[in-house]
Amino acid sequence: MVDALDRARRWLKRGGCLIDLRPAHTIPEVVVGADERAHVVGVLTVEAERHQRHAAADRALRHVLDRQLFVLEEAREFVFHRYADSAEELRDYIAERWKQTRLDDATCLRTAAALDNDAGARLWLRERVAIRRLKPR
Amino acid sequence: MPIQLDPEEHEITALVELLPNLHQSRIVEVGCGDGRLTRRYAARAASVIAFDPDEVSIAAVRSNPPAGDVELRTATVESVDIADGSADVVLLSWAL
Repeated sequence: MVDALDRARRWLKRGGCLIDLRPAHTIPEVVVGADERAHVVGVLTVEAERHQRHAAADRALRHVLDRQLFVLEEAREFVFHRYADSAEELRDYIAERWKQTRLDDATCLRTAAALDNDAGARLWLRERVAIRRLKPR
Repeated sequence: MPIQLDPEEHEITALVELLPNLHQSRIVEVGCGDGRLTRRYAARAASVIAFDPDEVSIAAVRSNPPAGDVELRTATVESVDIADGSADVVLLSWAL
């Protein structure tokens, strides 16, 4: 990862910038409801390997900042929502697309029940995402 | 209906806020995947080189390419050929 940041730095023009966009350090939440009725039904099950991957990315970033290869200009977070029509659809989507992360059976059942009990409710996955702008020194 | 991703457009809003000169920018996007984010900003940028190691994903983007001056490549960070000092922005797209 440090090597990737090093290469990115070489590709940049003078005055250019690096944008680092990736999930923040929170576990995505499964939300059911509508507006003020929305509530968290559960969270995704995340294996240790995913946490380790994120920690390694943070270490790589800290390393290039400590070495003064980049300076952090701005950092912020936003929420990224993924809307699904059913608990099963969300479960299958995560199984197909995500690594080391799943919607476990218990949470899937709770989600389906919450949808059944609230006519007009929507289902979505709420994930916090970090975005940072860095300038090469 | 397929899964709807970020219909509120929080992601592109955050990106544009951090890149006020997007329309003048030559962008290198690392880890573009299926081009989901590329589609949202490419038409606003001067040019884009977007790459990903996954051939299937790149083929999918090529079959329905984003608007704008976009060059797609199947490559890794180690193998991609990008000239030094050529990019205004390097975007690590959920890639680090």
